[in-house]
Order: sequence, then structure tokens, then C-alpha cells
Amino acid sequence: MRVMNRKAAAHPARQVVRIAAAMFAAIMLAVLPAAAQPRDEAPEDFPQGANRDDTFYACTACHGFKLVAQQGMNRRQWDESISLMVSKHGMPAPEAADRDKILDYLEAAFPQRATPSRGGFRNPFAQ
Amino acid sequence: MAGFKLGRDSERARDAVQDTSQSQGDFGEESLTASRRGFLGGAGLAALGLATGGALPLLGDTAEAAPLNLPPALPQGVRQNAILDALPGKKPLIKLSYRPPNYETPIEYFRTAITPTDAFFVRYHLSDIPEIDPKTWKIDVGGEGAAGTLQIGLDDLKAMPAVEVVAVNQCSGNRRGLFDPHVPGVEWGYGAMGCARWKGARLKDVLAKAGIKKEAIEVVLSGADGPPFDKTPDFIKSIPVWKAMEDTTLIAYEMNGAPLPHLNGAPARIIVPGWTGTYWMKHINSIKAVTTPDKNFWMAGAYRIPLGKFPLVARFVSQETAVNTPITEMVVNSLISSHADGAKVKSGTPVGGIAWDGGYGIQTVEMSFDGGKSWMPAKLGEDLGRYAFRTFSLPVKGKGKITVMARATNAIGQTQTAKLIHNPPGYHHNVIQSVSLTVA
Repeated sequence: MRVMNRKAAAHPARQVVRIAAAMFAAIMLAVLPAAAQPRDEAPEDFPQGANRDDTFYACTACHGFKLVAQQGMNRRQWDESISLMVSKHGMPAPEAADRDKILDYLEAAFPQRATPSRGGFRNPFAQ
Repeated sequence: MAGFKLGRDSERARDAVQDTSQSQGDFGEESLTASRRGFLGGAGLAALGLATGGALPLLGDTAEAAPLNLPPALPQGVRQNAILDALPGKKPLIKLSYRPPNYETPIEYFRTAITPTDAFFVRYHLSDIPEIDPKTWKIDVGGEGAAGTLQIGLDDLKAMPAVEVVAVNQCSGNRRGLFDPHVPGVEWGYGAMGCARWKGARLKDVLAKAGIKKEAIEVVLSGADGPPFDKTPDFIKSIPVWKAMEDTTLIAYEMNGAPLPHLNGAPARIIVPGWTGTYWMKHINSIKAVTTPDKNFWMAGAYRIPLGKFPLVARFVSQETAVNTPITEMVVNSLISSHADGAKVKSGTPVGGIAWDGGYGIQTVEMSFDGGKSWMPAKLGEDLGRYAFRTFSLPVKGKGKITVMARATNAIGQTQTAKLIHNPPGYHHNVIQSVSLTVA
């Protein structure tokens, strides 16, 4: 992480952002005032459901929520995605209760997608 | 060009997003799949125009906003949330995520062999994208596989022999959104790619200045962008020494005759013609020759394909395992771009698009106007070199609703696949595309 540190030294403002992001994730499900976070999207942009806002802020500590909303997976697949981010990407592991809340929302809001059957891309060789 | 800052700019972008989202009721399936109407309608364009006129610097011309021809097979979440959005210095592109920025090029820009710079796709893994002063920016060159170390700046690079190459930069996961079953990741449609004329110094000339040892097996590349968390692995990639030493593997500082735009890797990025975009390191600031395989997450844990599933020639032997290998060269592919799915055309109208491969060169493109029953050779456009997009077209035949297909074959006989070759990360989608047209 030598490169990282040098960059941080060169850009104090950036370091503040990074620290803010780290604090953000450390408390994971705490809901901060909306104005406190740099973002281009809001929880209200996404499907309603229990734990939506908590899930939104947990994910957006690192990346935009559109990346989440464009997936469609069952609970096991969502759980595997969290495990992958924890094991490979350095995400702080959420506590079990928080993890369940997140999975409840994701499973309900972005379920496994059905096989596309309405027009559009059809491959006659694939049958 | 100012850096891409999330704070202030994102507030403005959010305003644009919220404004345009009000018109998402227009994003019915019909308008998205057939795109017979313009994207967004007047209200949405006005909202985008507001954002461009008043806020973001150097925005593209929103009046030329292309319709959003999203493939119907994309996951519903993508189609519901997709909007056109202009990053600084760019025309409105299809926004898949703002943080990190992942924006794909609408299909209409793929009607020429060269993709316009301001419509060229933007792809970042990590959201910490620094501003860089080209005057003080340096690349550290060294590593245990090099005899010495040196620092090289932009003026040093420009003083070296310059090489130009026209080459396709395509994300490994382009078309991932078309995978079924679903593959998690950025759900790209067709536009995570582009072809540009790149100019820069040869990587091998820079390595020669440091002196490369015969024990060196890989060259490790790192850029100035980084993760939002220190614990998230920094994005670092390596390429085999043999690929680093090719005459067209460049450290490029120009794209289509102008300095690289910030969001495409300024002040300089690595160009690895024929290979997928993952190795084309942006904002390059570290180049190291190494004598053991690089083990970082982005090499050992990502961008890998199953062994033996794809007909590839270029190997990355030092990184191969018993079951998988790093992705290397692109598979042969084509895209019908002249007309959107569902368009009406007059008989005899040229229909076509672009074809490309991993650097062997496009030999033929065949087209079918009857859903794959019969095939005819298309006319190929100008040859800008074996790494470039090659345009093709053929006057459309038939009457009523027809299914148009295109199938490219390269100089070593590889062709597109009829059936998706499934792989866990969702790479190398080159299934023959079908477009429905109504011929009058």
C-alpha cells in the first residue's frame, strides 16, 4: 500500500474522505444524516422494503448502490457475494444480525432473475 | 482536465439523477427494447441539459444524446435503473455506476472503426481517483527483475520514439449482463469497449532504460487510482515479459490525436493490443519487472477463466494453475450497430457493424437475414490494422420481420460461438447476435 500512503500524504482532503469512509463502514448500519455522505444516489431511488436504508448505507460505504440493484440473486448467492467481499476485498464483516437484515432486503428487492423469455435476444443455435 | 472528484461533482450529478429519475416512468419495456422513441423524452433531456449547462465542466453535447438501446436480456435491475449521464469531458453514456464510475458506450457510436474519445467507455474498479498534475507525475520503473531503477515523466516519455497503434480496448466482462444464468458483477451490455488510435512510447524501450534481467518473467503494473479502504486490494496487474516486449505494447499519452482524457487514464496508460482491458493500466505510476509470479488479488483471485474452455492462443504460463488461467486475448466478435433491434428499414439499406478479435485480424464477416439459415459474406470496411475494429455491411434482403445475424471469423480460423460458453466471472461473451428488423 505504499502507493496509497503517498497519495494520501499528497491529498489531505482525500485522506479525510477515506477516513470518513472507514468510519462509515465500521459502524455499518448506523444511519448518518443524508447530507454527510458524498453520493449520487439516495435510498429512495431503489425499491421500498424493510431494511432498505440500512442496506443502502452498508453497501455505499464502498460503492454505488446501482451496482447492487443491477444484480438479481437468491439469498444464498447474495450471502456468497458478501462473503466474497469480506474475504477478497477487505470489507469489514457485518455482524450476524445485520447480515440477516441486509440479506432480507436484497433477497426481496432484487430476487434471482427469471430466464429472459420476452423477445429480444434469441439465439436460434442455442436450442 | 480537472480530476474526478466525488464530493462536489457527485452532488451535482445527484441532482441530475434525481431530475431524470422522474421520467423513469417512460422506461417501459417497449421504449427500452424497441427504442422507437427517443430516450427520456423532452423532460429528461431538459434535466440533463440543466446539469450540463449549469454545473459540470466540459460536458458533452446532450443534444446528441443517443437513444438507450439496452439489450432486452439485461437484468431487470439494469434496465430499470439505467440512465444516460455525462461525466466531465464525455458525452452522455449509459451509467452503470457512478462510484466507482462505470459508464458504457451506447451502440450508436460503434458505426465507425474509431470510437470517438468523448463517447469512449469509462471503467474503474476502485473509487479513489486522484487528480494528477502531469508536470510532476512520474512512473517508478524497477523491480527485482530489473538491473536498476529510474523515474520517468511525461516529457521523458514524449522524447522517446513514438509509436501509434489502432487497438480495441474491451472490458473482459463486456456483455456480462447477457449471461444467463446471472453472473454477479457490473452488468454490462454491449458497450464496455472502444477502439482508438493510441500514441506513446514502447514499454520495452522504457524497460530497457532500467535494464531487464533474463530472470524476469512478469512486468507488474500499478496506477494512481486506489480503493476507498486501505484494506481493499489496490488494483495491480501483471503481464508476461514476452507481451511487455512486443512492439505495440505502449505507455500511451495520446488517444485519437489528443492527450488522454482523465477518465481514460491520463497522463498515460498502458496499451496491450489484443488483450482485454484489465491489463491496460490507467494513470500508470509504477512498472516493475519481477522474477516470481505476482500474487496480488487482482492476478491470483480475479480475471481468471477456466482452462481449456476458450480457443485462445496467447498464454500467460507463469500465472496458470491446474484449473484456470488469467484472461488474455479477446475472442473473435462482432456487433450489429447500424440499426436498433426492432427498427424499420427499406429493402436494400446497408446493415452492418464492427468486428474485432485478439489481434490476428478479421478475415470475413458473414451475415444472415433469415435467422441463420443462409449466410452471405459482408463487405469489409477500411483495414486499420489487426488490433482495430473492422466495419462491415451488406444491403438488407427480405420482407416483413426478419432476423439479422453477423458472424466474424479471424485470420486463424476462429469464429464466434453459437452457444454461450459459461464461466464464473462472465467473460468472453461472443455469442452470435440477433437483431430483429422490419423490411418495407
